Amino acid sequence: MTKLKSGDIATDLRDRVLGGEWAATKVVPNERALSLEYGVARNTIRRAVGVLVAEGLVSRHVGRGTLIGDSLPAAPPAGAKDLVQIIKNLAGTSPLDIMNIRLIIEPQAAAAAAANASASELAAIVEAHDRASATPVMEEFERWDTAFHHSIFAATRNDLLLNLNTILSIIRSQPRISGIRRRGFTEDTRLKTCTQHQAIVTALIARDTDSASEAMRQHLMARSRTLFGASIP
Amino acid sequence: MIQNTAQTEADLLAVMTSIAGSSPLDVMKVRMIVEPQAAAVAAANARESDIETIRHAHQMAVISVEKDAFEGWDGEFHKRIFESTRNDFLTTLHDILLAIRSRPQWIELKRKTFSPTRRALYCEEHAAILAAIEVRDAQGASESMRGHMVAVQRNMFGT
Repeated sequence: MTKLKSGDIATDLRDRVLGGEWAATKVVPNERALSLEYGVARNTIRRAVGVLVAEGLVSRHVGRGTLIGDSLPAAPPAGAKDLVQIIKNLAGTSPLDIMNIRLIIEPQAAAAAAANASASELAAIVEAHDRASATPVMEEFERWDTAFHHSIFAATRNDLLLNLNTILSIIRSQPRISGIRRRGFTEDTRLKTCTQHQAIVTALIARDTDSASEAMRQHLMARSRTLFGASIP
Repeated sequence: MIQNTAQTEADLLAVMTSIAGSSPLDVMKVRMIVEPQAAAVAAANARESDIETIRHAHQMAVISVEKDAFEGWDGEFHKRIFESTRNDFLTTLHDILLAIRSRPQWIELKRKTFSPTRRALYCEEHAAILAAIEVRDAQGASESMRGHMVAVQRNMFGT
């Protein structure tokens, strides 16, 4: 039989530690016991245990042996990042990351709105849609387009979701991002957007959560293709 | 341009102030939307070294029996999944959710619902999420994470 290497032993020890074999005492057997068990030199055991020490799974203590999860690099930077840093990170988000996050959140928001919207909230959504449809002027259309999406988030009755959409709107109003939209603005894309909005409105009024979600997803994917090209998922 | 940036940051600060007071249930619903998707994106986008960091956080959580240590690594597990998406907004979104959940009333809510049984259950669920990410199974990662979020919600709110 070929002798075990320290890497094999490290793997086995890791499995045994994680499997809870020594969970009661939280102590790994000493080098002498392990070298007998694995049939290798104590140096090999020391190297194997060293791997687990480096991983933070165990730590060596003079006089107490090798302890499991004792001096864990405990409560790793659990602390919340400070607000200033979060805001700086948000302000610099890339346009594509924004679109991808909208693809995650907005279809679900549309579904929640279909389930939760009151009659007056639905009316606000319809009004924003009608106003956006009625104006060929870019700035005015943009305002109602934004209002349309905002009113859907408002209808979810989830304040946090609404606030997240506000954050996205703020980032999207930065010139570096709004410029992308404006360069791509044509009457043709405006009409397509309005048709897609109509599908969302229809699903919302029908209280059809699946269709609302799907219509929103189709709308955002179409926008993503228009803004960033066909290659983007 | 400098003025624009300052205005953007001032606007963001105002929203963030409002966000700090989000209700636990609203936060849970947002996690229910975002975390499964983050797991799916991570399965597709993570580098092998990212997966290694997720695995490490999982292993540390498994051996951390004591409550604070476990919660630290539990949080780290989720954080590293978000970071593995390589979407800056998603990563920052996790920071935002974490900031809300670091407030005193949250810590109390978590303290009341912690138990060794739940810890063990969460570790099993984490193992399933990790396994799916390791084999780049986006749908499996998403479903496992959704199941985990449902369990977390049930434990915290009983629904």
